Formats: sequence, C-alpha cells, structure tokens
Amino acid sequence: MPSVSSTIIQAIEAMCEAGEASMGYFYFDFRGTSKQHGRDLVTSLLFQLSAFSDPHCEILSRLYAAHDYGATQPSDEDLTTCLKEMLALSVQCPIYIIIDALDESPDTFGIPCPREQVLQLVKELVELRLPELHICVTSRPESDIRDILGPLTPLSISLQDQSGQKEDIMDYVRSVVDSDSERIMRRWTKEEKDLVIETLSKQAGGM
Amino acid sequence: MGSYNEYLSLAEPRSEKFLKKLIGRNDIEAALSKLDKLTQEEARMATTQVLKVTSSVDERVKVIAENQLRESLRKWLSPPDPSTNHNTACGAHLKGTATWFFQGSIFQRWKSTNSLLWIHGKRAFLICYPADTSRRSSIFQQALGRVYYGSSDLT
Repeated sequence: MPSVSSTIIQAIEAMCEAGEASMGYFYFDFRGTSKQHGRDLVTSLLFQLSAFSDPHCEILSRLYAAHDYGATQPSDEDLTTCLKEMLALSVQCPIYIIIDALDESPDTFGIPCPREQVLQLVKELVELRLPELHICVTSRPESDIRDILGPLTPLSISLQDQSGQKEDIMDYVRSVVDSDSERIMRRWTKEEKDLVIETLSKQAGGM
Repeated sequence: MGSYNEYLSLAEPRSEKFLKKLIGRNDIEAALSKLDKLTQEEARMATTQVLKVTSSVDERVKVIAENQLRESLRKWLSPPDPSTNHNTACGAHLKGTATWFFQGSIFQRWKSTNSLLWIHGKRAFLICYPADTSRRSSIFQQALGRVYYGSSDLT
C-alpha cells in the first residue's frame, strides 16, 4: 500500500528541486533496529539537513570538532540542540520534516520508552514555533501519540474518515488481486475476486 | 681601452643614426606599439588562464574536502538511511493515490502555517476478514498476504 507520507515526500521533493523548500524525512520501521529511536531520527535529519548549505554543515562540523573530530560521541541533548540550531537557520526558505509511522517506535521497554522520547522531541520542535518549519507525522492513532500530538495541532486527519483514502485502498486491493503477475490469484473466479476486493476495501474504510 | 672608446665614438653616431631612422619611421613605431599591446594582452590572457585554473582547482579541493568531511560525519554518527524505506514505499505507488489529500484544504493549510500535521489511520483491514468456508478463507489469507506484502504501512 503506497503510504501517504511517501506521496507527501515526493511532492515536497519537487519543491526542493525547484529551490522552494528544504526537507528532511524519516521512516520509523519496526523491522529495522536502527530506525526506532529518537537518536536515529535526529542523526538522520542532521545528516540530511547538513547537505543543504554551508552554514547548515558548519553547525554539524562544530559539534564534530567539539567531540575531538569524532573521537567521542555526542549526547542526545547535543544532537537535539544541533538540530534546533539548523532548523532555526531557515528564515526565508520553508523547511519540511516528514516522519512516517511514528507508532513503529516501540513503547514496550525503557523509561522513558523510545516512542515517548520521540514524541517529546516532536513536541519540542513544534514548540519552537519557527515560522518556516512544517512538520508532518503519520502514525496509528495510539493513545500515547494522541495525548501528545493532539493538543499540539489543529491539523489532524483521520484516514478512515477520508472517502478518497477508501477509494485509494480499493484501487490498491483491486490492482493486487487483478494483477496478472499474481500466480495464485489468477486461478480465482471473478466472483471470488470481487468478494475479496469488496470485503477488504470495506474493512479498510472501517465500515 | 683606447680602441674601445674609439669604437664607441664611431658606433655612437651610427646607432644614433639608426635610431633616428627608426623613430622617424611611422610603420616601425606602429609595429612596436602593436607588439607592446600584444605582449600586454598575452600577459593578461595568461593571468586570466592561471586564475581560472586556480579557481577550478580550488573548487575541486573544496568538493573533496566536503566529501571527506561528510564521510567522517557519516562514520561518526552512523545515521540510518531512510531512502530505502522511501524507495519501497514509492515502488508500491499507484497513479492517482492520495490526490484527495493534495486537493483538500488541510495540505494547503499545513503549507501556509508553521504547524504540525498529524495523519493517523488504522491498519484494521489487514487483520479482519470473514472466516467462512475453507476455500473462501484461504482466498482471503492469500489476498491478505499479497496486499500486506506490498503494504508496509497504511499511513
């Protein structure tokens, strides 16, 4: 299923190519151990943002120099401060941060758990109220995520409420079931295919 | 010594004469000034060339230094690479997907305000299906397997 975030990232990539914006994105991924923690998010964003301009890179270089040119590791706080500094640099050009599947950051171990740390970080970034900073988070509507992100923004969308999203899912299910490359599904009767498409799509809509 | 002076006294008027002859001649004067001009022009061209080469070398050194710094930073921070997820997500992309989102007002509002946008959705459709006859049930399982395979995430 194509994700909404990948589509947003593509749209903003086009803006970046036209020189109208800059962007950093991250996909939390329960299958990848290096893609579950706040530190993973921050280091990835720092690395992406440092490619924008010399001043952006300069900020990260200073942190690098301050840690004996890589002899020691920065603390999480160091990294967050560095990220905030970089974000504050963009005073003219809009900067977009897209975070996919935040719920795939685990909430099962650690105090605070990794997901809690990520949520706190997002909260801190939003509360900077930087005029050019736009952050988009996608996730399942878990209660811990709702508790933190809900009060931070008037802009939230439930995909289940979107008829467009339901059509997208129906199209997607249909494309998989009807695909000629699907060896197993080619053997199904038309009635069976229709039943599968109808049922899966209905459930996707939460009906 | 004496012969040298003698030579000079002889040579002087001769060279004077020669010079007078040359100076008096417009064509030679023009040629000399042209030569002078050409020499200056060549010097300028050479300088420009050197500057050009220097600045291109400078540029290349800068790029090499930047790449080295980036490589050092990568080793130091070992940032995860999200492009692998992005490429997978885009690979499953269908034409027209999410047009509802881009045509709607929320995306525009998000772009025009310094705000957080939270998009949330369930993946319920991946786990609920009717357990009916065995034939039908297996069809659903296969379909879910395929749909889920291409579906890392609904959101």
